[in-house]
Amino acid sequence: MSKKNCVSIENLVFGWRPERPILSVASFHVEAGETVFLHGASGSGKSTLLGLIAGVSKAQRGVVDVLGHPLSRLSAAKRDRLRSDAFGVIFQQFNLVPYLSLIENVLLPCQFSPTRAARTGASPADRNAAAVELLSRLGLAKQAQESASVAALSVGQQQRVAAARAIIGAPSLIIADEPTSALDATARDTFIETLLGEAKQASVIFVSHDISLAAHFDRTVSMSQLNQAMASELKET
Amino acid sequence: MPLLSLAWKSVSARTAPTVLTLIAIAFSTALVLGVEKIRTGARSGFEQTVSGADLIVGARSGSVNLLLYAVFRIGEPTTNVSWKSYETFAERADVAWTIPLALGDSHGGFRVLGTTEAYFDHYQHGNKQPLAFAVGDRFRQTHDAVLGAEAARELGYPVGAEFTISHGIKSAAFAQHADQPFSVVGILAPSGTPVDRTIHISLAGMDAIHARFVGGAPSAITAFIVGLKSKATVLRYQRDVNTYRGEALSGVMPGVALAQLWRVLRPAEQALRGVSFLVVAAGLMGLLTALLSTLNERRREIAVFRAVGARSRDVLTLLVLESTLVAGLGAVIGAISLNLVLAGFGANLEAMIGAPLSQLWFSARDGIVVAVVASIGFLLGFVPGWIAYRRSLNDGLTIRW
Repeated sequence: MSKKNCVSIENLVFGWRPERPILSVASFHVEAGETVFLHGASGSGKSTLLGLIAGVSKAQRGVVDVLGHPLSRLSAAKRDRLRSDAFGVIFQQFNLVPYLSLIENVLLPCQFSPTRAARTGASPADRNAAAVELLSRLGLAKQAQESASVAALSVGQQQRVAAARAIIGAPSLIIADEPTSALDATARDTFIETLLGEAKQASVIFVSHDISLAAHFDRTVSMSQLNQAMASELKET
Repeated sequence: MPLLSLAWKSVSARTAPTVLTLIAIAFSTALVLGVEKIRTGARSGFEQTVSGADLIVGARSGSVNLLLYAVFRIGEPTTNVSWKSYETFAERADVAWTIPLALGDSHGGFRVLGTTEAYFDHYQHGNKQPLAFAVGDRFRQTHDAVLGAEAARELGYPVGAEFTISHGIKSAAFAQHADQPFSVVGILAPSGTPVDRTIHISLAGMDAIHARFVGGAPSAITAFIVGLKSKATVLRYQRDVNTYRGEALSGVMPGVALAQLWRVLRPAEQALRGVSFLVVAAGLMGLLTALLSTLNERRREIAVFRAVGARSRDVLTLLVLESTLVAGLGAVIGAISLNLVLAGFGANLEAMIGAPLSQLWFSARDGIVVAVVASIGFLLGFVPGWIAYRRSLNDGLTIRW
């Protein structure tokens, strides 16, 4: 396992019921700073794989190593800690907490990770300024200044706020699970360019069923090849 | 603490259900506190109807009966106490003071009590408060009368007014002692005790009505109140009264008899209390319902929290905090509103139940009730908290709905 690997997976097996694995990955690596496009249809085990990398779920067999930490040997609390310090996550939709302001949503990781809070700014005022600046770069300057309600944002704007939340405090790994599926084609490309531009230091795992987006990334991995559990199931049927 | 501020923002964002739940909990807490306050107030007011007295002596009867007619002016004594027996017990060396009481007549529905000036010197109520005059002074002449506060107010008699006294307790006109007009010389300040509903005259006045005053001593009284020099001799004095050979007498300790009488009212008191607790339970169930009903729509929000590093435990904590906040805040609002209402209507209440307002104003019990309601809110929070906790483990980073 090389030191510069951000994510290393070996002989991973996972199933909600152990006798029926839904995910089986022989080997999957993401280097530090590398951007990976993970391509797969829905139900191919993408979200499950992301959950395992993020340390929310735990594999029955095999090794999941993130930033040099073997997740299987970390307690749930330490995995949660690692996630808050080192991960930025963007969902397909409904990324924002409705009762928090735009800036509070962006700064949410700082609430749970002192490390990221410190990297964002020394004082609450500094962190606020950093969030406003980041939102401005993402084209949300007006909304940030007006501290608009989250509900007033369009889907595309919401996804950009989610991107700002994933980027803030310089996490090592950004996981994006179909973040562009609700956007139109132009917004999609702009979103990806902005995300990758802002997250230059981080590794990115970007999941989508839309293969046309693959060109933006260093490398493309197909879920159907990666997940041997699904492959064998497909053969059987 | 970030979770506390998150919990606060979360509940305050759901304005309508939060406000309604707060109102329900505030109302029910105020109800429990109100019932408790009036209950304890009424009880202490009741038990302090007469204080500082060591013994009440009357013709032989049950202690509750003796208390009812001697102190509460309710009902009739079976027989009187002879003046001779009274003198025997009043002149003992261990006696500090006595108040003779002669009941029987009424005016305008208020009992007339014949007594001596010792009544104004020694009769105490509440926390050993003596009787105070609102206007005027004690009776000096045979046909002087001192009115209790309520009697004066309802009858509308100022000092100097003249009235006649009828025989028996009904205000029937046929037995008016029309030739014996009494004049009001003093009006007492409100005490919250049966004294307020009493018309006080001298023993001489009482006997004058019945023309049994044959010069010298009155023939008989209804009962008398005894204050001893030393509390240590109460039991001996009581035994001497109960075994007195000259006449069948009973001596009761007011505290004991009052507690006995209060016990009769116990089931009603407990029922009232029980109902108020059930209302709180209903209010808290409303809180639980409000929290549980939002749980499905909050599934995404919880996945977001997990994604940014919240532990499953934090999800549980968040919901428990929300529940505790709403329950605690509701209880505090209820307690404050109730005390404000008490402050507003305090004087009426004080006269009604006869307990000083100081006993009803903010008390440690208010704090305990608020703490208990908040604690139940805390415990109830584990229900949605646990469901969200289990879901957050299963859902992982997937957003389901």
